[in-house]
Amino acid sequence: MNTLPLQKARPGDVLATDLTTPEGVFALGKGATLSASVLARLDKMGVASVTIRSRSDDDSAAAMNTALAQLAARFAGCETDPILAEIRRVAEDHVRLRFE
Amino acid sequence: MKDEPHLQKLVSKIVRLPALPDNVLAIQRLIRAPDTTAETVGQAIARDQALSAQVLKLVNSGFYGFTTPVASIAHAVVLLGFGALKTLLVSTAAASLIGSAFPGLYPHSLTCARIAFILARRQGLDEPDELSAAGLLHDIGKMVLATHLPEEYEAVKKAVHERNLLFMDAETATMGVTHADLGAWLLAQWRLPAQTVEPIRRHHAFDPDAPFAERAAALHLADILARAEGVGDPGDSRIPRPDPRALAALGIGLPDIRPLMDEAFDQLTDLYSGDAAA
Ligand SMILES: [Fe+2]
Ligand SMILES: [Fe+2]
Repeated sequence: MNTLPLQKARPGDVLATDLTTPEGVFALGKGATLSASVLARLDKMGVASVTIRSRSDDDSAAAMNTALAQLAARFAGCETDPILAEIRRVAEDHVRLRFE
Repeated sequence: MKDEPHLQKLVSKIVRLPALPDNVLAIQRLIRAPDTTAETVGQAIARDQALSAQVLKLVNSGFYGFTTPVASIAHAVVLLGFGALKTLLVSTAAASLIGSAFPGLYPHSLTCARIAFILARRQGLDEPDELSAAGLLHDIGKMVLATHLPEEYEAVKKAVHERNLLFMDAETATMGVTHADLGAWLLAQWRLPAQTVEPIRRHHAFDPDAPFAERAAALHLADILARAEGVGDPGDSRIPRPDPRALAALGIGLPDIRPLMDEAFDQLTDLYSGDAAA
């Protein structure tokens, strides 16, 4: 979940909280999916920022970082062994490939 | 062997040996009969629908490198040969036992099996399909520990977590023997041949002069690579050091690591989705 300026929101983003106009008028409910026309209307209503659910590519970046951290923990202390260092390099490349 | 008294003491605590199902035992008896052919064994397996289904599931689980699905037992017998069939039969029964030890052990075992097969084919080792079945069974000693020696298993788990040890080092510290010894003991009881039992006994303690050293070396490296790729759970979260003598026995050097791992990675994609339950 993160809050962005309206200009940074993209069609397909999903609201993580209810949205109100600067006057405090309810505009859109939590869970609504933003479309290009909805974004244009919100702009006209003076909405400056929206709070959206994390996008799926953010989720996969987080999953990749978790996988890389686990890999680093598995290989801790193995730096001195040249074969293990190579195995680690290749395994790391494979983690990145999986999340590309 | 110096660990023998420890092993005897440990296995004397096992009230009932983890058992092979009756249908598997019956087919093993048939296999041992003097004039049995692969065809008669195939027919006997085919008559047992549940067993046939399990055998085909395993044959098609990806570690034999068959590119098209194997649809019948007769076909499996032709493709695999007699030796691999014997090991496969035990692997079939063992798959669900391994799955019952702790979550993650079966995917780790299956990954090791696939990598062992690829390694065997790349390095021109004999009978890659028997080696992959051995890969599936390599950590079966952990199943014996988890399901038949609960007190010892708790002590090992505690040592693994509190001291961040390798599973095998925790076993040595708390029991004086490892799952490799336990697994080899069980598989010998199940009458698997030495070419499967001995490499499993040595998969963490490579000895270039022990029988079937090349196969032991393959399991040793396949286990390490399975851990590196992070599929499944071997029961700890560290990587053992590869024994340079094992790499030498396989003819594997630094430049061979990347192409080997890349080939393995291509065949692991289905396991990353996490649906590799036994
Ligand atoms: Fe092991
Ligand atoms: Fe293992």
